[in-house]
Amino acid sequence: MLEENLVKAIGIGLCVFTILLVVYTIFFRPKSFLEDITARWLLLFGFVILSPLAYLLSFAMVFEDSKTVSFCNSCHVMESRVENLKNPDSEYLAAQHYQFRWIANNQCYHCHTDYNLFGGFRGKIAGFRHVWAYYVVGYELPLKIYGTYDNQICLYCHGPVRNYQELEEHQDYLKDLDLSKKSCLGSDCHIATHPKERKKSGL
Amino acid sequence: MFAGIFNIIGLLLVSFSLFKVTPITIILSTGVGGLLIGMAVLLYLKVVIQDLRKQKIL
Repeated sequence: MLEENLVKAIGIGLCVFTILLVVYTIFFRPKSFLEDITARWLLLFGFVILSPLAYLLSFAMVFEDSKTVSFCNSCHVMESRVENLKNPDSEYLAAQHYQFRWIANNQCYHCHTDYNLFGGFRGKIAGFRHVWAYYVVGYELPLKIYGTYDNQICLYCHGPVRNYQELEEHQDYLKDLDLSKKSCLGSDCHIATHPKERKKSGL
Repeated sequence: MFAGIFNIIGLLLVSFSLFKVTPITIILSTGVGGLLIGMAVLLYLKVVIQDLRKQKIL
């Protein structure tokens, strides 16, 4: 947390410094920058080195921040789900994972992103789809996941656990579970991850 | 001049997302902010190259 705040402070400091440098060079130096070789170098430094550096730093920081539960909760439609995550009486699977810290942090991100090379990238693309739906084309409640939930996300943690491997029900459906042909939820297996919202559409 | 203005607006958008991270601020900073910063560099280079050509250095 301290490290994150430090990087954020450096990013903000870099932006402020670059803005001041550009404002000073363009508006407060006596000669036009075309006639002033120092101004040219200052602008080159500001435009080509400092600005991209500030951009890259901010890019890395905001993408890291976009994994947090509070970020997911910044869209109104997620409020009921996050409320349920924190409700001590909730028995839903996501709430259990959150409250018992079976996943230490960034719980939404961990369960909604594949654990493979392009998992994070695909997660970001899905995120942009969510933003598009939330602000532009609208969405319908109850929310539905795009396609089928990939059981490998669950199995990444639970797969190697002895309890999982030894349970007879898991043995019976091992292949189907592995290929996500059978869901871990429903039937007589595990309870739902989130409570269902009432049916309506929104924008 | 335009390069400077683009760069300042771009950096303001970039720094805004560091204060408040929401989907909109992320899109504004990484998309619009990045575009403005990139345009500022291109405009600066254009002006410098034009000037060097005028002076017959290039």
